[in-house]
Amino acid sequence: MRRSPGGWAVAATALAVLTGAGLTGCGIPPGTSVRVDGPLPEIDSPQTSENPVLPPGPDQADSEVELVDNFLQAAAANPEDPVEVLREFVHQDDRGTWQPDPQILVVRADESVSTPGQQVRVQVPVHEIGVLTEDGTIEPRDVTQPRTLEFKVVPVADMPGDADVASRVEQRFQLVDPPDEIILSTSALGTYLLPRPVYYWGTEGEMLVPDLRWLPSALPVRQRAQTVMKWLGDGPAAWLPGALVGLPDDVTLAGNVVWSADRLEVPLTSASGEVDGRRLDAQLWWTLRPDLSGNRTLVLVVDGAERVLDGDYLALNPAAGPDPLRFAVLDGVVRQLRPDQEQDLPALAGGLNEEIHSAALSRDRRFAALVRAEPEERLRLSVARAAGLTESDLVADRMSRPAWLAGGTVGLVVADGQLYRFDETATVSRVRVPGGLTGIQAVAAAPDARRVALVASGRLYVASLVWRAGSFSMNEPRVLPTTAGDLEGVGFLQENWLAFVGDETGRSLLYEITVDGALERPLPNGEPGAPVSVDSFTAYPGDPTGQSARGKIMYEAENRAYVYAHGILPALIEAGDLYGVPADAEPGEPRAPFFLD
Amino acid sequence: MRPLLDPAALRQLLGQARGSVGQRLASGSATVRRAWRRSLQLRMMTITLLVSGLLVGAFGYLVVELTTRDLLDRAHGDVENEVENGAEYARGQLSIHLQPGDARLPATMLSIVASRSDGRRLVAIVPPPADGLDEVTSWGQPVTGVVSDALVEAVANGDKAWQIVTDTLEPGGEAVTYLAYGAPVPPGWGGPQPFQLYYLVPLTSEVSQANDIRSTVLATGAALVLLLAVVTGLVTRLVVRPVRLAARTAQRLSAGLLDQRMVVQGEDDLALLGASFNQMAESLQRQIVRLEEMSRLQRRFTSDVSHELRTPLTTVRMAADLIFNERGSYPPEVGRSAELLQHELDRFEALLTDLLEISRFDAGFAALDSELTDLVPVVRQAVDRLSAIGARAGTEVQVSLPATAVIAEVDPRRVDRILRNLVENAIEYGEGRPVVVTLAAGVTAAAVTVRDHGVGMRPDDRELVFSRFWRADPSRARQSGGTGLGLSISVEDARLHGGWLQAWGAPGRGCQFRLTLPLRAGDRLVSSPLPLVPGDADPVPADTAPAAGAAPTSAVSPDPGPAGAADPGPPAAERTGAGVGQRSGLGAGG
Repeated sequence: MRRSPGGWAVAATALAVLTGAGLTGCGIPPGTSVRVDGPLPEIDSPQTSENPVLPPGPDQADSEVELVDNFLQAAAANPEDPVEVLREFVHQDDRGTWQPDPQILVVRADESVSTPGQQVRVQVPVHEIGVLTEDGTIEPRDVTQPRTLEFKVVPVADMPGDADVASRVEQRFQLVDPPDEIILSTSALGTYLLPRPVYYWGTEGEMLVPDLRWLPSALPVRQRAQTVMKWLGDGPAAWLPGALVGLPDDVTLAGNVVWSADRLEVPLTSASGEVDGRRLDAQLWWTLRPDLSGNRTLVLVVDGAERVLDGDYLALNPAAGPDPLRFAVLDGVVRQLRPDQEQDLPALAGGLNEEIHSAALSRDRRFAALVRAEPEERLRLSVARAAGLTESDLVADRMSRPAWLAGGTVGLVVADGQLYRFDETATVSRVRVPGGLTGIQAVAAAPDARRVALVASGRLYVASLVWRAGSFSMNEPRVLPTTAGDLEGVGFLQENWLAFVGDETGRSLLYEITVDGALERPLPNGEPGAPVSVDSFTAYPGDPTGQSARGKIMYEAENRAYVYAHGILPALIEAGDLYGVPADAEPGEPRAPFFLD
Repeated sequence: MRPLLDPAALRQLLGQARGSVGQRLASGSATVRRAWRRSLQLRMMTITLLVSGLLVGAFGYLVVELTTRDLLDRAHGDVENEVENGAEYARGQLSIHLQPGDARLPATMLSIVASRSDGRRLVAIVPPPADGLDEVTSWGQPVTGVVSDALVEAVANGDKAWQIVTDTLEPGGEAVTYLAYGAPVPPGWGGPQPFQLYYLVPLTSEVSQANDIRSTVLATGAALVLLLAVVTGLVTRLVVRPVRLAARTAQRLSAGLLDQRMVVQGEDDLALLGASFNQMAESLQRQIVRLEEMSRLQRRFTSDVSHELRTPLTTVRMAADLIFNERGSYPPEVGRSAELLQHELDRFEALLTDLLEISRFDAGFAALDSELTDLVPVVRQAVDRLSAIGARAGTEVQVSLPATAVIAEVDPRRVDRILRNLVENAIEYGEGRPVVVTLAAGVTAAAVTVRDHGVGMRPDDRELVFSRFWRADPSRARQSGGTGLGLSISVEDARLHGGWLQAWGAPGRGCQFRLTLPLRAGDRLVSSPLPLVPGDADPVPADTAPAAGAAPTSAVSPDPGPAGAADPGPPAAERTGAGVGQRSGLGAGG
């Protein structure tokens, strides 16, 4: 059988070629063409109607004074880069050369005075409050003397080469040779910036301390949480050194905070891999609380792992909670004010509740700090417990109402212009106030016990306390410039607001002021009278999560006790407003009112 | 000057190389072809190798292809999930920026790329082209340099799309195969063009797995194929060996060793073959032995008959000779009878001799005593001896001999007998015309033709003329007397030499007889130096009747052809009806 050998050869070659091609073609190819997998699923993104409220521009000024006003507000439009906005106010010729100092100076501006002329001169007397930093803090300046800013305003003439006819018509005034500073008035601050406290933990203890920052409302809603988180990560404000603890070092923000219709996602990364759950959660929840409006859940994404923060963090903010019990001293006896539920006073049991000038009760009512009369019209501080009364060594002519701090093992009292601390054993020691402050008249501590407000020589100061091993030391106080003078009392009306009583043109008025001094306004109907000497001024901040975060004020004027609630004229406290007043005796008038500390 | 650079020399060298390579290829392929033809085992192994190689290759390719596709699908699914998650994350991160000019947007893009790229995965984010932002890639080069424009276009249109690319993206590294997956990310400001997020996931593990699978399949397949071939070879050998054995046994059997038998083991087909073979050998052996016996008997008979017949014949001949010699003293009728008696006795003796000779041929007892002989004197002697008869018949016998000697390995006695028979026939039937005897020699054969121009013969009688006791025309009187066996004996003599004796004749044109003998005993004749049909005959049509003689059957050419060239065999003779002579063999002494 003879078959053509050529046929076999062809078959063998075909096989070899096939095998070779198959082998090389097998496997994952080095490159392929593009394959389309279809579109991504549709996702609804929340539509926010961004209508940022912006300060007026130079084209909305109808007078020179208005132009200057607007100029002082313009920086609020974009505090991160205000120069470009402000340049619009400057005259063409000076625009290129105007290079202001980049920091924003916050001032409280008084009534401006304009002097007409070819160049209208507008003078604005201002008090410097501080510098608005990148992280929203208002840092105090050393200078507290008022000064006057001077602006030269010219009307806008026909400018050659101005292409935009419409804007030319609208803008009627421009500044010539403006000062080399960026100025922001406090009224603009209050209108165009939002107060956003950033919360930190105190160096000791388990309570969150708010650190007030200012966030421009021009910032889109979606970016607010991101900005605040960045501030939180950057640490506490400079005027609270050592008092607060920032975020743990190894925890950093890992990307943008994502604001969506139902959640707020905070991406964090931890170098050590471990994140202390409760403290961080509480800190973030309180800090981002305003962004959670509308039923958003706060979700932490730590290195990819999600954690929904839905716990109860209210207890960690000492300012949150129900309003405290109120007391007054009637005929030397501490009595509780109605209508709160009557509680017993174990500290003053056993006959200690008598001959009391003014008092302070610890939160659990087990300790009472008492100021009692001494011979020669002096006053002595004592501490009463269930075990008995312990007298301290502190005797003074003038002694303020004592105040317990933070749950009640340490207290503050002002005596004869000095500040003293005492503890439950009635051991008293003087508190060294850096900066040599003298003539201290009143002291008030924030519920977190890390911030205190002082009235000294009729001026208002705030200071931070650095706690260590159960005791504290005070940092140098900073002064808050106030419009009123001759302050006599101070208290914390909100987490970040102080209430004080001061003399304004011969009348005592109640004011509220932010702890950094940025905003100050008189309280409506807050008129103790004219003029009165106010003692025992005390205030208690309201629940920041409540409907109104404002608390109540109580004070003593002319030996009578008054209570003030926001918007209502101060009300006299009558004997009938107290519990436990014996019906038959002729009661005196309550005085020295105080809240449970 | 180096000779290698010379273009002419180079070309020559190349030509030589090509020629020698071609030669070697040709010789190699010839060797291969020969081995292929001869070895059943090799054929089976090669076929198995090829077919199984094809099948295994096909299946292996299928397996590798399927597993590779599965690997790729899985990788694609994983990466698709990753990309979807990444796109969701990027969308959230970018959602806080409400305009392309947001100063914090580049930082967001950087943080997206940094947070999404881990050790192995490369990430890039490309902003919408109209917004004037720079793209961010984790490998530091633009995306369009790595992926194709079609991918970028698909993603920019809002689809997820992917492709495989191979590139060197790590500095100082080697080319890595990536699965590049792109997904669109809508920007926070809701513009028409999306951001593009790209994940480049290296497929090194998939590639190495695919390569491993491929290598494994390849190795396994090759081993399998080889093993199959080896197994086939072994199995074939099981079959081939008995067959070879049978072939060898048959060879020995045909060589004469009649008692060779195959070993029969078992009851399968091979055993059946062996048993049948043995049966055949047995019967052949018996047959051959019987034939040998018969031949021996026949030889005995002929020699016995020859002796027995000779004795009375000699006696009768002696008496006849005596009477013949004394025929003068008898009355003329008795004298006539004595002549007749003498003549017929001569005929009888001649017939007896021829018969014995023929019977010797029939018994296979004829032996060839070949020796190297010069044919020239043989032919001349044969002619000369018959010249007297020719003269008496008035026929001239011409002889044409070559100048040189024609040495052939032949039995001179038999050759002489053939020639004498042919010449005698030619003289008898030549009708007085000259008879031409020609001797010619070629390279392998010598030929003698005897041409007469007598009565000729019919074409049909060309074969019959060599039959025993055949006469074309029985009525023709015999002149020189013959036994009727001369041509038969001559044909047998020629066959014994391995040569041919062929006749040609045309009615009235005469005949030509050609004797072709191989120069070397045992050679096979393929052609004859002289043509059968003489040059002076009309061309005759082709006749496919087989020739008398030992020539192998092949196509008969119609053209007689020139002398000495391929003359494959005896062409047909043609005979017409008139004047048919008869031919018979003249008995010659044997």
